[in-house]
Amino acid sequence: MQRRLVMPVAVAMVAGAVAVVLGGCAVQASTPVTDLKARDRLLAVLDEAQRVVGGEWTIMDDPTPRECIIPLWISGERYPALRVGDPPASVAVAADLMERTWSDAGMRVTRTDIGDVIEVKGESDEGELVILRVSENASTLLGESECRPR
Amino acid sequence: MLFDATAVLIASLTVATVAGPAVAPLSVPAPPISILTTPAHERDIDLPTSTQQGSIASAPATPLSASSIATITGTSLLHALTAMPPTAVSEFVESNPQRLHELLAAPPGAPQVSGWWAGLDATAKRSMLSAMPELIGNLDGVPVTERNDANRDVLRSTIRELELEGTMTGRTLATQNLQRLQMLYSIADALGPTTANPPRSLLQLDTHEAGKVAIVLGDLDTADYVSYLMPGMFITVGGNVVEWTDTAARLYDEQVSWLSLLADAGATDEVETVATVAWIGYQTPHLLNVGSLDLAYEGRDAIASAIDGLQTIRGTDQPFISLLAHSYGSTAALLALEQSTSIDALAMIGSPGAPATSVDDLNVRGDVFVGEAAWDPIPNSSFFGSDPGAVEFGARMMSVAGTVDVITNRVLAASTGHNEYWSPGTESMRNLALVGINKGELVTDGSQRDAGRTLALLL
Repeated sequence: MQRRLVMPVAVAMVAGAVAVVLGGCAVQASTPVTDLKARDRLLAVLDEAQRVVGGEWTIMDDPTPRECIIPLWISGERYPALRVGDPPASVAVAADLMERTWSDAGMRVTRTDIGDVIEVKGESDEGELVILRVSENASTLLGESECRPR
Repeated sequence: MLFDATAVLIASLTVATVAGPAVAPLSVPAPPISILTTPAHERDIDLPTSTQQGSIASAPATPLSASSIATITGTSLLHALTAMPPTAVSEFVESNPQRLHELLAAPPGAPQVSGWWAGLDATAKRSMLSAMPELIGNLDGVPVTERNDANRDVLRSTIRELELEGTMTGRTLATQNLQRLQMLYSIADALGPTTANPPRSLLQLDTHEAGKVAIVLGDLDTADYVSYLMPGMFITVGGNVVEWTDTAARLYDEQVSWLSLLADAGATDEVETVATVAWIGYQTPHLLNVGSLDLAYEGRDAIASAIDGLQTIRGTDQPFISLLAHSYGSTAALLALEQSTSIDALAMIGSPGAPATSVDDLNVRGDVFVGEAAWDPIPNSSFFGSDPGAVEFGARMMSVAGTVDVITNRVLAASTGHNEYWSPGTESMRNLALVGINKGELVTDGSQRDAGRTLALLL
C-alpha cells in the first residue's frame, strides 16, 4: 500500500521538476491580491520613485496586461510600466535615495554604475520588478507587476 | 508499466512546455469591452464617382457581368469589383466567397494594390471597405489605417455573428464555432484596450480554420525601425496570439529603452521610433507535419508579401526592417530571403536550417545573426539543409547563454531549451532588440570581444 502511494508521488515530483525546468517557471510566493491591485501596487511604487527622483516625467504605461503563468499552469497576467523623465538634480543622490527606499520596502536591490548611468533594480519576493536608470541626461523607470490570476 | 507511464507523462509535459502555456479555458470568456465599444466603421454605401472611375486606367468602363468576372483574377478583379455598384459587389461577395479567398491566396503585388487603392476616391474606398472588409483588410499595399479599420470591423461582426448563432439556436455552439469564437476573443484580447500604449493595429486577420493574424505595436507608417516576429512550430492564433503580442510588446519596450539610452549617451541626435509586428501570417507546423517544407513555403510567400506591403506603403521613407525568426519560422524566412525579399537584418533562433548554404545567398543588407540555446535540440540539426550556426554559413553568433551585460552590468538570464529565447530579462531578448534597431555592434557573441562592447564605443 505504501509502495503504491509513494510511486505516484515520486512520478508526479519528477514530472513536475522536469516541467518546471523545461518551462523555466520561477516559482513565486503567492499573495491574495487581485491582478488590478498588483498593478496599482506597482504604479504606486513607480509614482513614489518619480517623486524621489523629481522632475517632469512622461508616463508611457501600457494598460494592456501581459500573459503570465503562475505555477502550476494557472493563467495569470501582469501589467507593465515605462516612464521617461528629466535628469535628476544629482544622479548619485537620486540613486542613493531610490536604493534606500526600495530596500526599506523589502525589495532585493542591486545597484550598478554604467558609465554616467546608474541603474537601481528592485525585485520583490512576489516577482514584481522595478528598474530606475538615471544619468545627467535623463531618468527612466521600467517595471512589471506581480503575476496574478485574472 | 510505471516507467512507460512516466515517460509518456514527461514527454507530454515536454511537448506542452515547448508549445507554451496551455490555453484551455473551460468556458468562453466575455469579449473585452474595447473591441465592442470601438465605433463601428461607417457603412454608408455610395457609388464611385465618375471622376474616380476615370482615374483608374485599367478599370472597366462599364460593370462586367457576373460571368465575365468569373474569369478574371488579380488586379483586374479588383478593378472590376470597383466598377460594380456597391450592392452588386455585396451580392457578388456573398454568392462567391471562394473568389475572395482565391484572391487573397494569390493576391496582386503590393505596388499594384497600392496603385489601385490610391486611384479610388474617399467614397469608393468607403464602399469597398463596407462591401469587402475581409479582402481590403488583408491586401498588402492598402494603408495600415484602412486595413486596421476593416479587420476590426470583421472581428467585431464575426464575433457578433457567432454569439448570435448560439443565442438564436438556443443551443451551445458547435465545437468548431466555439473554437473559432475563442480564437477571435484571443485576438481581441491581444489588441488590448483602445488606450493601449503604443497603439495596436490589426494589420491582418483571417478568421477561418486555424486563422492568421498580424498585430502592429507602434506606427508602421512612420517608425524608423520595424521588427517582424516570425513564429515557428506550435504557435497558433487561438493558442498563442496573446503571448506572441506580449512578446512584441516587450521587444518594443526594450527597443524604446535602448534607443533612449543610446540617444542619451550622445549616439544619435534624437530618439528614434520603433514598431514591432506580432506576425502569425502562416499556418505553423505541428508534430505531424513539421518534417515537410510545405508550410515553410507558405510562410515564405506570406512574409514576402507582408514586407513588400510595408516597403510599398513607406515609399521613399523606408524603415530599417528586421526579421526575428524562431524555429521553423527561420526556415520560412530563409526561403523568402533567397528570393526577391530584402531586409536590413535577420536574427534566427533555434533554427532547423534551410536550403540556403550561406549568408551570401540571402538578400540581407546588414548582418545575419544566429542564436542557439543550451538544451535546444533544433539548432545544429541541419534538418532542412544547412546549419545557419555553422562557421561556413557566415552568420554572426548571437549569445543567448546568459551573462553580465557589459553595457549596463545587469546580470542577464540565460535561455535554455527551444522556447525561452523571448523571455524577458534574457541576453537573447536584449540581443534581439538590438538587432532590430541596427545596433548589431552591441550584440554579444559570448567571446572575449564582448568586454569591448561598451557605450564608450558610441560616443
